[in-house]
Amino acid sequence: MKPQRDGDWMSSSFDVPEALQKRVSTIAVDDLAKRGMRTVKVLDKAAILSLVDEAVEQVVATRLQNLDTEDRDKIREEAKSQFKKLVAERNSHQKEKQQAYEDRIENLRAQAVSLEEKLVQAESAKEEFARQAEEQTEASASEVLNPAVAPVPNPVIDSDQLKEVIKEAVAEAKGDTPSSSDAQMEGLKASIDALASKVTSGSSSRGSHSTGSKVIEPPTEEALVALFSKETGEKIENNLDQVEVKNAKAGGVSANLAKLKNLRKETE
Amino acid sequence: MGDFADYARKDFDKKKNVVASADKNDQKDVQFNVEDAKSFSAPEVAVPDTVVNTEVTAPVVSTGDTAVALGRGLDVGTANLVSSFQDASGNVNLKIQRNAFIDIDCDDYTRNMLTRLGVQYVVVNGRMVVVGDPAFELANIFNRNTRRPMKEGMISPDEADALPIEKMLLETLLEQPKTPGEICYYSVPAEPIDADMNVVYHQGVFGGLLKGLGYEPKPLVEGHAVVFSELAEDDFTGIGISCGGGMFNVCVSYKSIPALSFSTSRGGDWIDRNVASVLGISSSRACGLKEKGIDITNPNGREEEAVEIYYRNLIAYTLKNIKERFESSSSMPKFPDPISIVCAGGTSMIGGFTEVFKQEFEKINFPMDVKEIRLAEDPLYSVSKGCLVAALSESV
Ligand SMILES: Nc1ncnc2c1ncn2[C@@H]1O[C@H](COP(=O)(O)OP(=O)(O)OP(=O)(O)O)[C@@H](O)[C@H]1O
Ligand SMILES: [Mg+2]
Repeated sequence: MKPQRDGDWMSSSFDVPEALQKRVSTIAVDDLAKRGMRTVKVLDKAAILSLVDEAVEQVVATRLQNLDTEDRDKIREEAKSQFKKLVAERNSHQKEKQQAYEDRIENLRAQAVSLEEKLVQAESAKEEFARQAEEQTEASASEVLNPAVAPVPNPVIDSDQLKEVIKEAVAEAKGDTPSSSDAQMEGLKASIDALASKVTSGSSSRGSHSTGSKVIEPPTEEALVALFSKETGEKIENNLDQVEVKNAKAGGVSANLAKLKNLRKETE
Repeated sequence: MGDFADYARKDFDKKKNVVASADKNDQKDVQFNVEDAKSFSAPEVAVPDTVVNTEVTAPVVSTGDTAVALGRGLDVGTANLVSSFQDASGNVNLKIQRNAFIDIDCDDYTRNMLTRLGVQYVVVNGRMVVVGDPAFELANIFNRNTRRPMKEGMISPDEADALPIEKMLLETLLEQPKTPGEICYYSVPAEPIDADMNVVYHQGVFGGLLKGLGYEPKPLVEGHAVVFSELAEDDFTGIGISCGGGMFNVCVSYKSIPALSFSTSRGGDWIDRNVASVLGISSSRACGLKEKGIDITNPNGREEEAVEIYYRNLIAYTLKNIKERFESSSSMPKFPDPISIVCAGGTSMIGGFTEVFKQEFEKINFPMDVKEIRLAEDPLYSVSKGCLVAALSESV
């Protein structure tokens, strides 16, 4: 509906603040001073709006007095149908939102299920790998020369990306949803987050010597590459070259070097 | 520097493949340079007991007013980063950085203030990051904990900012290589026996960083480095232990060849954590207490007793692990003569360390004859010096 200044005042709306905004002009205080103006009378937006309200009320009151019954009924009917129309519009909008929200929950649930499946896969691959590694370790002739164990191939899940999607979904869904389901949404988000991190950290591991309970998981190879490429991009501001680093001197290593070279020569 | 990313990726791939395809006879090790070690190797050859006293001069590069030998050592530690090189007069020069940082709000005032106070910083993601020792002081002022790029001997997977900061720190410690591809041996943890950690990843990261600085990176397990710097007089035969902040690294060596090496994820930080929890104080206070110069053979009061208890426990744990691993390994060389055990690293610097070590040693039936248990000459610099020895020996 376009704002109208005159015509049927009941079925049109007039946006006073917008109209004000359109008509104001901005002049720098300095310019005013140049024109010789030393004081300015200021009327704030709220004052203008209340003035407009007052004027409209007065006009409506006087006009209503002059209306005959037929006109009055007509106006009442119009008002009623306008109101109904607004309610219907609002309801259908609400329904759409609700539907979108439910779709999203469904979607998140599906993601959770697929993550869970991937986790199970990763875990069984890990076990299988650990078993192989164990066999290798046992069979190996020398402990020192036995290399570390390679990471298990990772299921390709970018948990950050996933978390981002979930965050967006939650933020979006939150906007207009009934507040009673916020908690439900939060719960779901938390469990998906937990699951996602479990998948990432559970996805690569060295198998053989985990005698202790302490497990520190390395980032995935993708994460490693991402870190490196981030690192190469920007020049990092610092003052490191302006500050002296702690220095020390220690006994020479010439004797060690001589011994080592000698030993090597003798064994060649 | 696409070079850097490429290298790290390739290095990572390569090691992953080596590791994945390693069959039992394939004696490749990702943790130290076996090819190099093999070239020293021939246990059956008798080595005459002659002491070499000729000064060996490493190749020297002259850059303006200073002449330094080619080859660098770098101790990559949880608590400290230590670089080393040999100057023209044969002295070892070292640079030391605390491997810690703290981030503070970024503005011009702070920027100028920090530079004026001689405090190093790096700007990462719009925050000012203070690195090194001042990070500890600032952490105290702001009542916060420092952030640590490494944890238990490895690059920390929880610390997203770790890589750019480590790169900066390495740049201040190493400068430009004297010639492109100058060898830099850097310390890496041996296989951890009580934690499931990825040494390959850690090694790849630092290899990549060093390559990016123009060096040819070569990893050396930390205990092996201690052997190189402290056991020359024993023909590099004996046990080197690096008692660090994040871990203990053990290497049993025979004529410079590691026969057994492993690490445990208990070190100075472990003592701090445990002392803190029994006394109900913060870890950094516990660390201060530990470093203030106490003697664990003669603890004074409850707090010092707590430190002593955990030190004893840690030493006993280390000895027990050496014994078990030694006994369960089928490929141990015969050690014809009694050996020396040398301890290095910051955690060995507490008063009474060797005495308590000897007491705990007496309690177990150790599988080797030991003639001596002693501290390294420079406990904090020993690993870096060992790396330097390895680097100099290969820089021809
Ligand atoms: N005088 C001292 N007494 C006791 N402990 C000390 C002393 N000085 C330093 N330390 C401890 O030594 C540890 C640091 O030692 P060091 O620099 O050898 O470790 P790192 O090489 O950085 O670690 P890691 O080898 O485990 O990765 C810290 O736990 C520190 O609290
Ligand atoms: Mg160390």
